[in-house]
Amino acid sequence: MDCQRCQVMLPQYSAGELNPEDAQRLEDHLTECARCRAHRAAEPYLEALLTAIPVYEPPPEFTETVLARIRPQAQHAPDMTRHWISFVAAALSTMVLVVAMQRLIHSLHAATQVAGGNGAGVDLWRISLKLPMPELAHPGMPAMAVVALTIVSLWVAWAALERA
Amino acid sequence: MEDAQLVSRCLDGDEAAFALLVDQHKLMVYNIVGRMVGRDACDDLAQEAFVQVFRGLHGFRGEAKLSTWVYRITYRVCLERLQRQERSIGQVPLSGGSPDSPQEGPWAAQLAVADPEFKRLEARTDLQRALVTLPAHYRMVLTLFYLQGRRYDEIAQVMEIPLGTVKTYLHRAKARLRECLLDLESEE
Repeated sequence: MDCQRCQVMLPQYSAGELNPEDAQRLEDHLTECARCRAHRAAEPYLEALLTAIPVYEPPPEFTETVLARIRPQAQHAPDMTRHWISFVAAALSTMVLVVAMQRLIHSLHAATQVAGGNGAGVDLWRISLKLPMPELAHPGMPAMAVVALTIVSLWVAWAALERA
Repeated sequence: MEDAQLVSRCLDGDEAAFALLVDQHKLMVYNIVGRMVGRDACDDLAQEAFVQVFRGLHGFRGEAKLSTWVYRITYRVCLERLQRQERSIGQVPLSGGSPDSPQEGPWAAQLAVADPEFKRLEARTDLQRALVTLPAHYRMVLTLFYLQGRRYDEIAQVMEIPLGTVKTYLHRAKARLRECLLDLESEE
């Protein structure tokens, strides 16, 4: 055990809170280290000083002053019912959007199948949406896009309703 | 009254319940502010801490004691004030700095002007002067441990630091105080 560790553990040792192994190691160190013994001897003096620090007393009118500051805010307290209504409205609107997007993706996918092959299908996607579309190499990609879109839409809708 | 019940009544708009909450914690909040920022800031900042408590009541989950939560908010309010003060004065911020580098609060300079010779000081006055030279987080740990007798794990919850860090801060704070007290004695 080194001096720093010993001095960190001294308060617990004095309070009898150390386990037997640590207490023994600490005692062995104290036997050999004059510096830590002096540290331990000064500890009660310092602790007595620290526990005798004057206490600041709040003025008698403190509580009333605090209440006077919060009264205007209490009159405009947040309405939790309104928060829940906003959240449900956002969830419903997001569901409608997600279902519409899923139907669109499904119909476009069906259209690519009719067009025959990924080459023409991809071209059809690009023409239909007028957007750069990546190769749909992963079969789950549309579903992942839908999940991401759901999360973003829900957050945007709820934030917009909260601000309203 | 239990913490959850008291908070619930406060959220229902029961002013008497919030008055009770303030009365239960104002002494400790006042002293945390006084030790961390200074006696002059006690009135204003302690009130601000309770205003923040009121605004954040809906966020109290009951995972910690209400007192722990109130003191945590107080600690944050004090740190914000100290950071603003230090930025305006142009000194090193008191929070987040290296625990080993000596940092003084702005009132330490005022004390020096008021009594530059520091002669014939009583031990407790020496300790007061030594305390103001400690970093804010050291003062917070000492206040919670010695003024209110909080356990290490409760201090860790208030300050949102690991348990081991609490012990280290306490050890370093007392080591620094010993050095400061020895320095003050040698000046007499």
